[in-house]
Parts: sequence; structure tokens; C-alpha cells
Amino acid sequence: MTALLSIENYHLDIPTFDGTLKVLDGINLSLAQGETLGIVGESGCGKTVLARSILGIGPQRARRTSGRMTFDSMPLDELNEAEWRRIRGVKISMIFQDPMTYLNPLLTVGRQLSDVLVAHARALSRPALSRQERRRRCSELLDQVQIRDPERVEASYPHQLSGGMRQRILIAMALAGEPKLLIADEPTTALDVTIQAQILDLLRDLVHRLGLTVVMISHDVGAIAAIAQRVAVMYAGVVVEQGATNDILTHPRHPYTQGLLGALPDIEGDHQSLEAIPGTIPNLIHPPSGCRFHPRCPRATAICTSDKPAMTSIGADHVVACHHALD
Amino acid sequence: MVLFTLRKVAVLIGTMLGLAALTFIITNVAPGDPARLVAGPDATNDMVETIRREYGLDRPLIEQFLIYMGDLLTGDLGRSIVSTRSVMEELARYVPATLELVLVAMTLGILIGVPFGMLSAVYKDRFIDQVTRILSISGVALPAFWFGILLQLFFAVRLELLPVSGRLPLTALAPEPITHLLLVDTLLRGDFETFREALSHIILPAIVLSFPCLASILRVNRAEMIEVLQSDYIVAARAHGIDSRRIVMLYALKNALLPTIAMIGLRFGWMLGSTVLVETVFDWPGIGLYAVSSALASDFKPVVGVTLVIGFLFMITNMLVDLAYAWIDPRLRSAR
Amino acid sequence: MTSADLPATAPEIPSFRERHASTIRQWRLYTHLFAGSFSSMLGLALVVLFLILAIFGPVLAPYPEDTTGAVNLSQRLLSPSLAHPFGTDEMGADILSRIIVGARTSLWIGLIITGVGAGIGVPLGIIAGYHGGFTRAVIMRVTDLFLSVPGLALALTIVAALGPGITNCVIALSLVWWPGYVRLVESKTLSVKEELYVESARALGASTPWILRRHILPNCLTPIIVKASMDMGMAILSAASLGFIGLGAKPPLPEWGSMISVARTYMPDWWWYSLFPGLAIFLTVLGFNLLGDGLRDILDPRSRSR
Repeated sequence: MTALLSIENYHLDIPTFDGTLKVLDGINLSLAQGETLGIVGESGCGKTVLARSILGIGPQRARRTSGRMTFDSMPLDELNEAEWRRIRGVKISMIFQDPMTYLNPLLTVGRQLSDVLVAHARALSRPALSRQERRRRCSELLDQVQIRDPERVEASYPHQLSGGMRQRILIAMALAGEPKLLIADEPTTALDVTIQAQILDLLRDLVHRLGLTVVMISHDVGAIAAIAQRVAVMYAGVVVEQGATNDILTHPRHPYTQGLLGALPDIEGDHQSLEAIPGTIPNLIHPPSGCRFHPRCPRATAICTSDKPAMTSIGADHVVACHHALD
Repeated sequence: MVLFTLRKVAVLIGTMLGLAALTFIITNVAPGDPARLVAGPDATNDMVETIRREYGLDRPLIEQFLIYMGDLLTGDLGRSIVSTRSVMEELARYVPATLELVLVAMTLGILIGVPFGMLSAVYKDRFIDQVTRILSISGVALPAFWFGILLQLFFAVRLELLPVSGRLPLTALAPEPITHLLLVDTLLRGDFETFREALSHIILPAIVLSFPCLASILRVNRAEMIEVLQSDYIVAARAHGIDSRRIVMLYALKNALLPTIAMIGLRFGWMLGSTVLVETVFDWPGIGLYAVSSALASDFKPVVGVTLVIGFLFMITNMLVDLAYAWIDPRLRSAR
Repeated sequence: MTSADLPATAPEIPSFRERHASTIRQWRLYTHLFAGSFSSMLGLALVVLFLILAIFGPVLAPYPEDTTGAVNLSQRLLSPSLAHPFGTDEMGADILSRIIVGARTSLWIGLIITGVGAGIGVPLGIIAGYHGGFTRAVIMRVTDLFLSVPGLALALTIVAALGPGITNCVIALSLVWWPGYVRLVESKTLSVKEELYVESARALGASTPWILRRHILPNCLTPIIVKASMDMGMAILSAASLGFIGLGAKPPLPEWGSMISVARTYMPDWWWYSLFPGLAIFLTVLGFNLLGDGLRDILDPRSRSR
């Protein structure tokens, strides 16, 4: 089976006054049609930059130094603006973190939603939708994200709606073009806990019903576990471990993954297991030599400071980049 | 919305009363003797005393203040010493000329400032941005009176393309007034010859007056556009495949317009103030020239009258800006 | 702590560089940004040039006696030449000399107006912002009142009441200049006051003057510096405007605006008489504006991305 999205040895730099940030350092990921992949890691590990690069809306100053991204056998790094327009929203779509700031405050929800529909029709060189068709499609989409009173919602401005409602609208917008790939960037982080559960349920339901291919990004392992079949763990611009969600959650091999899972409060009650990873995320201008995690790693030895660990397979669908994965 | 407007009107009336009081304080707390100022440097003491009585300047300050405020409320701004006519009548004659000039200049400022601010933001740090940046900073630094003289030298004296000064040539007859704005009246009356004359007379002063205003509208609009273009909802709009022209023209411009409108309001007031310079250079028969010639002749009532009129027009503008804000931004609308 | 707790070896004293690493980095960043911007450097150059003229003017002027009212009618209204690069005026005085010495007049005007404006406005703004309540209401109402009329129009009224003259011009402009600072400082104070570090300082019993000096004022300083730099230019421009109208400086005092006022009557045949003083005003004001703009770009992080 060929991959829908494949990212090979992707390196990304962002130049700043203090030096060049080596934000992504050789990312390898691939995703088949219908798969759901979660990317988990602390804030600042590069997961949002990675997600936005897939859509070509990464930081303006960011520079790809090597590697490539391919989507549906199209080289994403070589597209021009016109070609991007035929991808954004209709082939690859995105859900964002904070539904308040990602909706335009001065336009009604209906206006923004139907604008997206108009843009898609134009991008695919389809005839423009009539007013009724747009109306019908809007309420269809809102119905899909379980909004019960589409008329009121369409006439509302974003500030008049609740956070959960706004996130539903953003999801509806992302689904409007029936994309092949959906990227969800921290879709529940900015929401209240009870709303988080609702949105996760909705997402899971949509993934199953529509058979979506999804990349979901979060620092919340629980949210990832609810959606993703496979998980990639990122640390300081590097994927350190990747595998089936169940496998990773029950048998983490990389010390960082173990720390990340250990740092989760255990709902079952054993608070003894709550442990934080010592130290802080490294400076990406002068990243640690060898394994980027070694300064914080309990198992680090001499080889970890000198050699970058290669990705090695340790199970049917489980790879890890650590010199001491089997210790 | 009605309540909102009413509250604004109440504030406006309050500020007008305050402004009237302020002008009274300025005239009376100033160390100079107003009666002597009016009488002129060569007047004898007797003459000064006569004037003092005639103008009621010998009464207690409080009484003078009450009389002054009472007169204002009935629309009496006193008499000009030079022309001995009522200041109110003279203002009525001069205000339309100034208003016409300011409106044309403001239109120029908006029509050039907003699009170039947008272009500058979209092509940030590129050539067009550098050009507009230098243009906009110089615009604020240009002394209006000097710029006016240069334009007169070049376009009127050297190229003889446009008239040097005035509002109409001496030979031309102004049309029967309808709005008192020459450009509008000539069109309404179908007098295209006079319209052309009026237009050619207004071009240079309007450019001079609009330049600093254009510059700051451009700068604000550029800065806001750049900020808005980096905001999350623009990222989202791009991710959803909306094309960049629509993003700039609708999504970003509407959001960037709010601070730009505030700047337009601010600059409108500033323009009214600058008319004293521009009208002097171009002999434009408006309130600016009226204020300057009165100030030079120590004729005080007209100067106060002009100040009050300018303050009034400025406050009206601010009120309109507030209304425009509420009209554009739904968050403000529902907050009230 | 007792002496027993101290380490046996002498503690390593960090070098000056190490102790002030973050400050040094900050200043390095500022210089880098400032020097990298052509317009900021141009502004700095113009302001430095203006300051040199203002300080050493009488020494630099080729005909210093022409700036104090010397009359030389045989030399009147000469066009630009090697002897008089900017020509001569109707009294036969060298225009270049008068422009050079005029820089000092303008510098004083700018300094006094900006200084008095900030001197009145900043304290009032801090009081209004920090105290709130009735005090604030009164201060802000008066401020709004002054801002309800464009400054130039109000200054014209005041000069008309005081009578023309350079001193009265400066007084009038100073009187209309302070409200801008009140607005600026008041809003800044209001926002700083709510900051947690100020709240905690207050909770720990810090006195009000200490909080004002230690927290509020330093935080207002950046916008004040930027505004003051821009205001130097705008104050010079406003004074020149009043001079042009004929309400400002009177000859023989060399002041750029008044020079143009006189020069205008010699238009268009003696155009250079108007041209050069205006150019001096323009470049000076431009310099201060560019400098202020550059300072804002580096000091105000919000605008840095712009």
C-alpha cells in the first residue's frame, strides 16, 4: 500500500537573531489512506511547525534544509501558490487549537462557512454554488458536527458562541471540502474539560463515519489515545518512538516516552506513579550532541553524547531511536 | 444604537460647554489686558477705559462668564473689531470653503492612504514598501506652508498649469448657493466651466492639506494590516483554501480598518487646525485665513469663534468615528 | 548563614560579561536592529547634524554678524553663489548663516515645549492612572477638553490672547502639548498597575511612591522616550508654523518659520529665500521622526514584527 502522506528525513531551520533554530531534525513519518496518526510531545518540540508545514502555512522565515514531503504523489515542497490552492481545504484540511482566535471576529459564522464553500468550488474549477445550494450545504455541515440550530448559529458572530460551539464550526469548515487528510492541531487544548470530551467524541465519530485519514497533534496523551491508531512521540524536533497506540502506551521503550507517560496523573489512583521528567527542553540553537534527549535521560551513557541513535525496529509496528531501548 | 447615539450627543454638548469655558479662561487669565489689546498700542488710557466699559470688561469675571455663556447659547459669538460684523455671520460665510477643502483633502488621503497601506503590508520590506515608508514619514515631517509654496512655485509659476491661489478667479461668478460647496453647487447648477475653475483652484491646497493625513493613514493601515495578516484567523482562512486576494480585501482589511478609521477621525481634526497654514499660503477664503488675519490684528472674538467651530466639527467627527466602529465591529454592538 | 557553610575555596566571581549577559544581549540586539535599519540611521544622522549646528552654530556660520541684525543693503537678495551658497535676504544677510544659527533657536523651542509637555503630562498621567476614582475623572476630563481642539488651533487662540512673539508661542505650545502625555501615561499606568508583580509588591507593603518609581515609571519610559523624540520634531514644526503665520519670532532673531514668512513676500523671483529655511525644517523634523520611529521599532516588542 502506498502512503498518502510521507515525510522523509525532513529538516527545518528558523533563523533568529541569536542563531538558527534547528526546529525539525530529520523527521520520518508516513501515513496510509484511512490511518489515524497521533503526534505527541511537549510544547516547543516542533509538532505544530511540522503540522503547518504539511499545509504550507508554516512560519514565513522557516527554511527547509533537506528532506521532502509527498502527499498523494505530489511533492509538497515544490508547489506554487496556485497549486496549493487546489490542496488546501479540499485535499488537506486543518483544525486549530483556539477556536476563538481562529474565527474572524467581524464576520458571521454563516458568511465564513459559505466563503469556504465558494473557495473550494473555485479551487476545483466547479461551477459556483447557488445561494440555496450554499445554504443547504452549510446546514448539512453544521448538522454533521451536531449543531442543532444551524440558522441561529449561521447568523451569529463568533463572540456570541461558546468555545465548544466555535470548535464545532471550525471542524465543519475543515470538513467542507471533503478532504483526504485532516490535520488536527491540539483541537481540545483550549477547551473546558467537559467540552474536551464532547469534541473528542465528535471527532472519533466523524473519523469512523467518514473514514478520515487524520494526523492529530497534542501534548495530551489521553486525547491522542482516543483517536489515533498509531502514535509518534516527538522530542526537540526529532521523532523518538513510533508504533501502534496500544503498544506504545503499554510498552514504551524510549526513556522520554516512559517519562511522558509517567508524568500523566494516573486516574486509577496510584499517585506514586506521578513523576516529572527532570530538566527542561533543550535550546534548539545549540541542541545537545548525539541524542538530543541525553542531558535529561536517566540511562544516558558516553555513546548517547556522541552518536545520534538510529531508528530501529523492535516489534511488528514499533520503532524507537535510542541506544538503550532494550536495557 | 439610539441610546448609544444619545449618550454621544450628551457628551458632545458637555465638551462644547467645557470648550467655551476654556476659551473664556484663556482670554481672561492671559496676563495681557484685553481692553488694551483691542484698543491698540497707541490708545490713550481714556480710550482703553471706554472700550473696557463698552465690552463689559469692567464687570466681575463671573458675571462676564455668565454673559459670555449666555451669548454663546443664543448663537452670539460677538463682533469682529476689524469688520464690525457679527462673528457668527462671518463664520457662516467662511465655514463652507474650509469644509469643502478639508473634505476634498480627506477624500484624497483615504483614497491614496488605504490602498497603499494595504499594498505596503502585503509586499512588506519589498520595493513598494520602502517607497511608501519614506513617503509616509516625510509626509508627516513636511512643513505644510513650505510644501504649499513649493507646489505654487512649480505648478503655478513655472508650469502655469494651476492657479496660484484663491478659490475662484476674480472674473468667475459663484453659482447660486445650494450646499455652499462650490464643487457640488456648480455641478448641481450644470455650470461646468465654473466647476473646472473651482477644481483647478482646490487641487494644490487639497494636496498640501492631505499629505500628512495620507501619510498617517497609510502608516496605520500598513501596521494594522501586517498585524492582522499574521493573526490566527488569517492562517485558518489560508488553510481552508480561501484565495489570498479575498483574504486581503475582506478578511484582513475589515479588521485593519478599525484603527484606520480612528486615525482618519484624529487627522480630520488635525486638518482643521492646519487650515490656518494652508489657507494662508493659498489665500483660501476659509476660517483658517479668517482666524490668522484676525489674530494678527488682535481681533480676538473671531479667533475664539473659529476655535469653537473647529472644536465642534472635530467632536462631530469623533462621534461619527464611534458610530462607524460600532457599525463595523459586532462585539461593540452587542456590548451596548 | 555561618562561615562554616561557605565553601572552602573562594567562590568564583563571575566576570562583568557573565553577570550582565542578558543586558549585553539586549543592547546588542537593539544596536543590531537599529543599525540594520536605513531609515533609523538616517534619522540619527540628521539629528546629530542638527545638534552640531545648534551647539556650534555661531562658530560654523560664515557670516555670524548677519544673524544678529547686521544690515548690508548692497548685498540684498543675491542669488546663491560661492560666497553665499543659499543667497542673501532682503537685509543683505547670508541665508546660510541665519539657517545655521536658527538651529539653536529651534532646538530650544523643541526642548522647552517637549520638556514642559512631558513635565506636566507624565505626573498627571501617573496620578490619574494609579489613583483612579474622582482624581482620575477630573484629570482625564480636562485632558479630553484640551484634546477636543486641534493643538495648532488652540495654540493660535492662546498666542492671540497673549500677543505675538516667540516666548508667547512657546508658552502656548507648551500649554497644548501636555495632554498627549497624560493619555499615553495614564493608559500605560492602568495596565501596569494590574500586573501581578505590582500587586504582589503592594501586598508586601511597598509604599506608593516606591511602586511608582520602581515599577510604573520604568514601564512608561519606553513610550515616553519614543513620543518625546517624535515630539521634538513636531514641536519645532508647530513653532515654525506659528512663526510663518507671523505670530512667532520677529527678525533679527533667526528662526526658520519666520524667515519663510518674510521670504514669501519675495516669491516667486527670489525662490531660494523660501526654499532653504523650509528644507532645514523638513530635514530636522524628518530626522526626529525617523529616530523616534526607529526607537519604537526596537524598544516596543509589539511593533517589532511590523
